[in-house]
Amino acid sequence: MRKTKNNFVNFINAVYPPVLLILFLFILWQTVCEVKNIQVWMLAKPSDIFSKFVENTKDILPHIGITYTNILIGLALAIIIGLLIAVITCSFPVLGSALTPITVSLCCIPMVTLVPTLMLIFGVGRSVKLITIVIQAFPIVTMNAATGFLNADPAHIELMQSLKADKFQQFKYCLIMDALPDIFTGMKLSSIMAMMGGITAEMTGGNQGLGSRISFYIGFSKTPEALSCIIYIAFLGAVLYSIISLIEKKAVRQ
Amino acid sequence: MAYISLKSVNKKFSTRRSEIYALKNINMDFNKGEFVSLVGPSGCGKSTIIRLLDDILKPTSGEITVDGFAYNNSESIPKNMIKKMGFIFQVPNLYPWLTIRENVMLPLKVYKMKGPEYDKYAEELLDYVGLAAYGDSYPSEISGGMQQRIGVIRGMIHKPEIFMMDEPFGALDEDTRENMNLELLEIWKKTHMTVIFITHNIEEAVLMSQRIYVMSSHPGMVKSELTIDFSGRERNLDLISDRKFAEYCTDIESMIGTLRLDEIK
Repeated sequence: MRKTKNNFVNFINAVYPPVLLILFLFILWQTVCEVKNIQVWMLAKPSDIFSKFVENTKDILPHIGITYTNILIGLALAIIIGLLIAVITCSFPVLGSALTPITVSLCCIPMVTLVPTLMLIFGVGRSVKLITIVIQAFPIVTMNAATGFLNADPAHIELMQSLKADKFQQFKYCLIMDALPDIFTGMKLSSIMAMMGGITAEMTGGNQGLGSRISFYIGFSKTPEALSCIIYIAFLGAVLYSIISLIEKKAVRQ
Repeated sequence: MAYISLKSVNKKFSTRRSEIYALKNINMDFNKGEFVSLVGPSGCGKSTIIRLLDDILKPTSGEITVDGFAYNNSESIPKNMIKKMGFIFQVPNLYPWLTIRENVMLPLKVYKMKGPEYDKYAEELLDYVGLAAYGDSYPSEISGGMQQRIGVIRGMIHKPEIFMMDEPFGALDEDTRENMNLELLEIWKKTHMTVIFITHNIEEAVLMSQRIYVMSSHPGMVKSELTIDFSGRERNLDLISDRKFAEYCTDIESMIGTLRLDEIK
């Protein structure tokens, strides 16, 4: 009983600072817009955004579904591919040194520059969205996981060697556990990258998904509507990041 | 022929600038069931010797034979040989993500040895070192001395015949070290393992060993070999006040002392 109460208190303590800060910023924003009498198409007031947010939900709902499924599938693929490439990189040094410059440069390329080309090849359907998300999100998983594998504690590895564990056993009992904190860092960062990749692809082409809605509203100077879409994006981003952090807390013991 | 033997073993480490002889012309024999210590200044290659026996490192040249099996310099030794050996590190080297019990049983997992008799043995060993209540705790939740005890019993969970220890109690305080020494002696008497014990602490070596190899450094060579004989007296802390005990200690101490002086010259 006492324990659940403590948990509740901890939860409240963790939640109130960001909530208060966000509220304060919204009030500041609202006041500045009111006092300076800023045009709504230039910068919408929070109150306008929220009223559009409520009004629009029904129209936007299918788009939310499309964006969210794309990002979730793309992120899952990116994490799997990223981890696989990291394992290959660390197991076969020659292949690793061949792959590393490519993964690093993929990490640096802004997706806006790549999406138009991808769309010429793959069209504007779902596949191009998924490809964009994967390309944007997997390198950061690979880079972090590989760092984790290479930085595994030499003493931990020596124990495995003294037991004559084979490569797979070394990986299973030692390397992956030692690399886990870095793997989770990679996954958290990749959830952010997946959001950016997904929205960028939707904004560039096609008429489905939140990104396409934002481009559409901006085209008609409907700023409040455009900004209200961003709330859904920010929400998914925050949720994904928190879920991965939560799993990390359960899984990592150092 | 001795149970374990090293014949003219050399080990060279090459760095970018030079080559260093960690071991030069090492000849050593260990009999079955014997307790032998290796002492010497740091850099004399004591740790390298047991790493060669445990096949973590390969010798540059020379012959190593264990229980009739001759080591091959290009292949690692077979599983049935490695299962005869237990290796204890300088630090406990427990995996922080495993519980104490899981840590103790990790070698069994790697060796694919399963069964209720091993579960029982793990509990027995935990009980033996007085840590039965901590089986489900994590390493970070117990003290350094406790962790090292766990490190020791992890090395013997698969019932090895040869027990190699690399300064296992170096990081412990004097009291804990003495307790651990006595516990180790008890374990040795009970299991009849062949123990190769590496230490900086000369009293510790004299108290426990039947034989001591004194080594010199740069290059690592065997300087002398001593048989420690208390004419059948039981090995316990009473021995420390014995005159013979003090003699052995000063002998070895002066030997290592001259070695250090030589090095400074």
